[in-house]
Amino acid sequence: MTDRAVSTTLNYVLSLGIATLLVTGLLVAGGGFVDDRRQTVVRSELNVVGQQISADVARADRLVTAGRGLSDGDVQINQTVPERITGATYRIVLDGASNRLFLNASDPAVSVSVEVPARTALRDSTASGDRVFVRYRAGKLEVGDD
Amino acid sequence: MADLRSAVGDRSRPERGQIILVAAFALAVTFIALALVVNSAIFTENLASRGELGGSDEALYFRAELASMVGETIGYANVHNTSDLSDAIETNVANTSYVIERQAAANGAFVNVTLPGPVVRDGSRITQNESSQRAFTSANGASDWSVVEDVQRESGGNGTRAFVMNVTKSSLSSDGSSPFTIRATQWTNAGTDWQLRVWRDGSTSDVIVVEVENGAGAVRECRTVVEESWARIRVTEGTIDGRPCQALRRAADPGDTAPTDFRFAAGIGSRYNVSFANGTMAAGNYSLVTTNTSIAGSQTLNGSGSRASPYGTPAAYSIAVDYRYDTPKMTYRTRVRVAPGEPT
Repeated sequence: MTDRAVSTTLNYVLSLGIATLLVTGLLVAGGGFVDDRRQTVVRSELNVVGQQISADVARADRLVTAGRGLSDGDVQINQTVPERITGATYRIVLDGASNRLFLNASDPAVSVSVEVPARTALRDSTASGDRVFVRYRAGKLEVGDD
Repeated sequence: MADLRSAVGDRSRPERGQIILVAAFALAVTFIALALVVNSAIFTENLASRGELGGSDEALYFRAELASMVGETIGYANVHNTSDLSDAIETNVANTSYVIERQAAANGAFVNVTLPGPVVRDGSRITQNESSQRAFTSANGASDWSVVEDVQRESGGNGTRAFVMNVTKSSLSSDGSSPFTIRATQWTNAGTDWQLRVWRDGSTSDVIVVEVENGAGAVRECRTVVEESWARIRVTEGTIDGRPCQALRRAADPGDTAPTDFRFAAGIGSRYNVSFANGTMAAGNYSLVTTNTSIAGSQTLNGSGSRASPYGTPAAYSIAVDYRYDTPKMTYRTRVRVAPGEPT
């Protein structure tokens, strides 16, 4: 063994170091890739849920404004949406001032906004996932959950 | 490069590649996480492709059907069954509810139509209905006469509806001087009236001119070509021979943004009288329904017993029904007011 220019310890250190670098590099890249995909999926699914609820609000608005307005009556539309998106919970927020629906997921922190085409006034209200309803009450449309 | 076996170990032990194994396990966990994310993406696609809830279109369709059917009921009862109006209409609303219920149930929806208490708004119907070309004069032959007094507007509606005239062209004034005029005046006789004048643009012309002056003093006219020997003017619906006449509607003049209201009795308040002037300058038939309930005491109309033109009978002016449409995912309840032929 004395005729080699490199000692065994150095051999080990070098080999292990390179192997560690290789493995760490693979794991970091893989983890980053999964995280990135997750963000994209959460964003697109929040968009889909947002569009569906916005369509429900537009439908309720059509019923309220049909025939010169709703007198002595009410409208309620129920919808089932997924409770979690790739394990992340989210909140649905209806903003009356700007006629927009905001969906905010907690982890990863993604926020999506969808426009709501409605002629009736909208009330500021929130709902979380699972069973969401859109209802007309006291002159305005609002969202809520069971 | 040194090998990774034990420095003093014997060379017969098999290689195990442990570091690569550990790396492989870690990557496997990563792949499983990726599979979960991809699964979520596929579910999103499925969620996005789910069709729209079909409920709201059908709810509005049945509502329109209901309004149309009840409207026809009122029209029929007003002509044929004036002695027992409320009962006839209420029975038929129950029949209408049954028919629509069955149709909706086939599509998985529950519909119920009910009457919220005594809600038939009574009124009267004034008709001239002769096969001879009778002029638009009163029962005694007066040319300027009061048709109906004290017509009160209903909240959310009007006071006169379904005003239809079939006028023979040859009976109309041929030069616009002293034409047949329908006048709606305020109950207190203050302010300007709403007037409608109709004449023919020449003694052989096919053009009928309708000029309307509303309560605010604005004037608009519409000219229509009518080829038959009579013109069908729907005053409260705003059409002549089926074609819209802007002089009877609420619409903006070209170049204006705000609409001007020329509908029947627009701009003269909530209580008014209706009268005819120059009744000899028009002949044919007409019919109108108003909210006035004291037609039996009219001095200018014949009674409902004889039905000699022109006569007044009790009639139903409007009715309100409660409409309810339910599906597993939607509930919709509203009160629908039906008054066919009202100015919109």
